[in-house]
Amino acid sequence: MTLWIFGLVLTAYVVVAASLARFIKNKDDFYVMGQQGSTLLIVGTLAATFLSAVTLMGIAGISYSEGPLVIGALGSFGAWVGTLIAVVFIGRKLKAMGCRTMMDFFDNRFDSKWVSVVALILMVIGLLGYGIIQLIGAGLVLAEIIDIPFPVIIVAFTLALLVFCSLSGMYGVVYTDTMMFFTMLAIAFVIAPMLIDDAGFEAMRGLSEKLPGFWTLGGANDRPLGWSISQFLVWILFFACTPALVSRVFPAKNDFVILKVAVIGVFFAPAMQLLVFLAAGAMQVLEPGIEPADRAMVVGFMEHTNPALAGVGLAGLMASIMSTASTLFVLTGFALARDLYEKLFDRQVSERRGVMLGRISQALVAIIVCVVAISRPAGIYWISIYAGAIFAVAWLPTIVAALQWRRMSARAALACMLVGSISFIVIGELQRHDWLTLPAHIDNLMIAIVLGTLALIVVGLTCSPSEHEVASFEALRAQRLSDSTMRDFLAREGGARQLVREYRRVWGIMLLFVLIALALWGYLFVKLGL
Amino acid sequence: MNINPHLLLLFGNAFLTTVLSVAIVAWILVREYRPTIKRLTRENEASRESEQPAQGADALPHRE
Repeated sequence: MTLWIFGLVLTAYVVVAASLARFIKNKDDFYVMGQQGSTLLIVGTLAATFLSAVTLMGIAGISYSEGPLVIGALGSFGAWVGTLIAVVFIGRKLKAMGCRTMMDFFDNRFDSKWVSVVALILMVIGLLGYGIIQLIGAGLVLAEIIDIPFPVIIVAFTLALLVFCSLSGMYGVVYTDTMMFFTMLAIAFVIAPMLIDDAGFEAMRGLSEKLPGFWTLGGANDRPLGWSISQFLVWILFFACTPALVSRVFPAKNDFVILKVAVIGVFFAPAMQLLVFLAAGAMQVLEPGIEPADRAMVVGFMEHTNPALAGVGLAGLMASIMSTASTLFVLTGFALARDLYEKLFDRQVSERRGVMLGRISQALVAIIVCVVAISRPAGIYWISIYAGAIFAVAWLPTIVAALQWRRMSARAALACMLVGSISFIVIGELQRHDWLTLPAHIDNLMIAIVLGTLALIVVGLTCSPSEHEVASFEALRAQRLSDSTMRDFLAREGGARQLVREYRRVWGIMLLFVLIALALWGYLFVKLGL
Repeated sequence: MNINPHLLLLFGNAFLTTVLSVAIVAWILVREYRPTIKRLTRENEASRESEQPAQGADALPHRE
């Protein structure tokens, strides 16, 4: 049964992605789906990319064994606010500048090959390291559940990713992400409430007697407050500038889509996560003693729902792996084709050749991912320690300063990226080998981000920005996505009417989602917190 | 009534996330869109008052 579901769901994704290849006529279609993304599609791809296997397994496991608040209350809050920053501040501004990829921002703002090379290397390492390790971890669990060899799972995923990314580019990724989003919604809004209902709110509240601290911030293991605060900082810094989330708004049709996504997509981040964490807590009532704890939700799907819902649950788990992986890998392919070959090597390529190049680089990335995931070299585990957070330490201060500080220059950007990433790795290694002990609740990420920011400020103050950098800063300050959106609307027949309608629609959506959020979180608080 | 402050923080943060996103989007709408929307609405009302037929692209819906 599970094998059938695995095959069926994977085939459905592949068929949809393959059928979208006909829309790819030029590079714009391949990289940003011709900027035709609707609210549903952009909410779908954002939410599906946000929810990775880490939520359904790793954090769900902690919620099961220690309590749903341990990560959910502050660490996840950092991720939600970070997602909001990624969409509405960074992504929206970069789209206003006409960026098709994250690297376009560095190229346009600094026009420095060194900055572009360093940013590109960090991005490829960060995306591949984070993506492959997630693929390996979740692939191993999935292989065990559906009882097929791990290499077969990886090859199947790779072939599917090849179709999503290589054949259909951003179209394939966004549409399949949206399909996957619905399976994730089914987990959050159908399966999770069923598990909570089976356990009962009273029994769930009673868990604090069996496991003291289960419904507290510190959890059953009584983690200190400083740890929770450091989790908040780590997640907010990571999510605010990770290319996987920032780039989700590039295919959006216009500014109204992004504004609606900022409300709807950001509502679904806590809605999907917290319901899963609470369901994992409910599993502690229904079936205590699950080992390892990160299987709690899988056991919930398989043993506490009917076979059809178990299949949906497994499809959702697959979706959480594939949606994050497809976004990470498609961006790596874009970086190789567009940012490395076309721009850094100054190759002028036609639209048709550009698309072909994009497809070849996607195929190359898929082969690398497949080989590395199956062979599982020790190095990939080492890279994964640092890969995800590298964007927080190296990119975030650089991007924020580039958007807000007139004196920001290529030298300051280089200093920040190099000092941030190198100090992050060096301090991390010194800690790992017990050659350095940091004060409690201070980690290498916090130190590295401070050092990187200091380097940026010192170099920025001592070196004057070039004419290009001043001009690009002035240009980016003048560029507003709202202006181009209003211009586009007013240029159409009946555009003014549509513009006013869209404007009012956004207000309506805002009101609706405040009410939904109030009802949902208020209900759960009354049931569990009073 | 026994309130669990930790759960208040958990669900409060979830609600605050939506409130934050709504507040930011509202700020953008008011700052960047409202002047144009008001101008378009005013122009539409003025054209209706002077009983001129609505002109193609600038025709606006009646306020309800």
